[in-house]
Amino acid sequence: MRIDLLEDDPDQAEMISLWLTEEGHDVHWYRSGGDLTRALHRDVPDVLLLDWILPESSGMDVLTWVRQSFLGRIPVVFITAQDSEEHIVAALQAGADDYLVKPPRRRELIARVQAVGRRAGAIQPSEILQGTDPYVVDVGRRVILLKNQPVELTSKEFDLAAYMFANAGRLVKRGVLLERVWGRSQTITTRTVDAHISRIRKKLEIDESNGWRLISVYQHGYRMERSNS
Amino acid sequence: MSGEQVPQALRLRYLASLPGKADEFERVLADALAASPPNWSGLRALAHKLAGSAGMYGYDQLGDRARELVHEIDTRSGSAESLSAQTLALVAALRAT
Repeated sequence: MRIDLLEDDPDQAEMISLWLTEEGHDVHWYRSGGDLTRALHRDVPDVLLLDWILPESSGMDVLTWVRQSFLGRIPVVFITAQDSEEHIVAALQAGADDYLVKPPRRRELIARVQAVGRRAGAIQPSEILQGTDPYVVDVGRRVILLKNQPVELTSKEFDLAAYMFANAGRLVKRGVLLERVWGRSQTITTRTVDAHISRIRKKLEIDESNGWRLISVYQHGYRMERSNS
Repeated sequence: MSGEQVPQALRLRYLASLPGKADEFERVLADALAASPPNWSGLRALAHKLAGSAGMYGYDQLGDRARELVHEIDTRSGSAESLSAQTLALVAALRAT
């Protein structure tokens, strides 16, 4: 998963980044709320990890901005030394998905971050998606097999296909695909999403013969589903 | 958190930074006391940061002391004299580690 970390203390940021990187996650560290919110306009992470007390805008300011912005339901975990019941309740009521009191314990931090990412449908590292037969979607090796034969895909095609399989049965909006696969680049439009969807349909032979369909929902987005569902 | 997961190089670097942190606590305490009435916000921010990092690197007692200082400042439970004494005890602990 891509994890954006907001933490002004380099000592803590280094350790948290190390723990998560060792688990295969891609961690991007930001020292201020301003740096983070600017970055969020370019790339959307799978999970946001926020400190509360910062020199400029607080972690709560960032959370409020995220929940009111185009980012919507991106998972947010607070990691802070603010350990009072009032603080924990305030953060959760403001839309945080989880809350960790500093100093965090390594395994607990990793487990909680991965849990919120999993609940949000983010793809975990070193994971083979379940229930996709006759396809094998190997996220760790970044390969998709069809009937045990690898299918040649570009990096973006793989990301898009893996995201659709990971969210099978759900309607996924084009804008969400843009954010998750392309990082909401200013130069990429939803037409690009449509073109890539068309290509992965063809390359992966997503049709009745393989028991899947990737349907377009007019003016909304796409849904990957079993063709007999 | 016992610090057992901390790579040796990182732990040594953190250890080497503790005398500098002690100096910073002394400076910030002097600034706090120079204001009338004393302004504890800088000291609180510094203690808050130490409370967060010390335990991660395996220095649980330093983290506990820093957390107690934050608590005292937040609850206004200590006089200027007691907050000063508490800060200087933390400085001594940082230097002795």
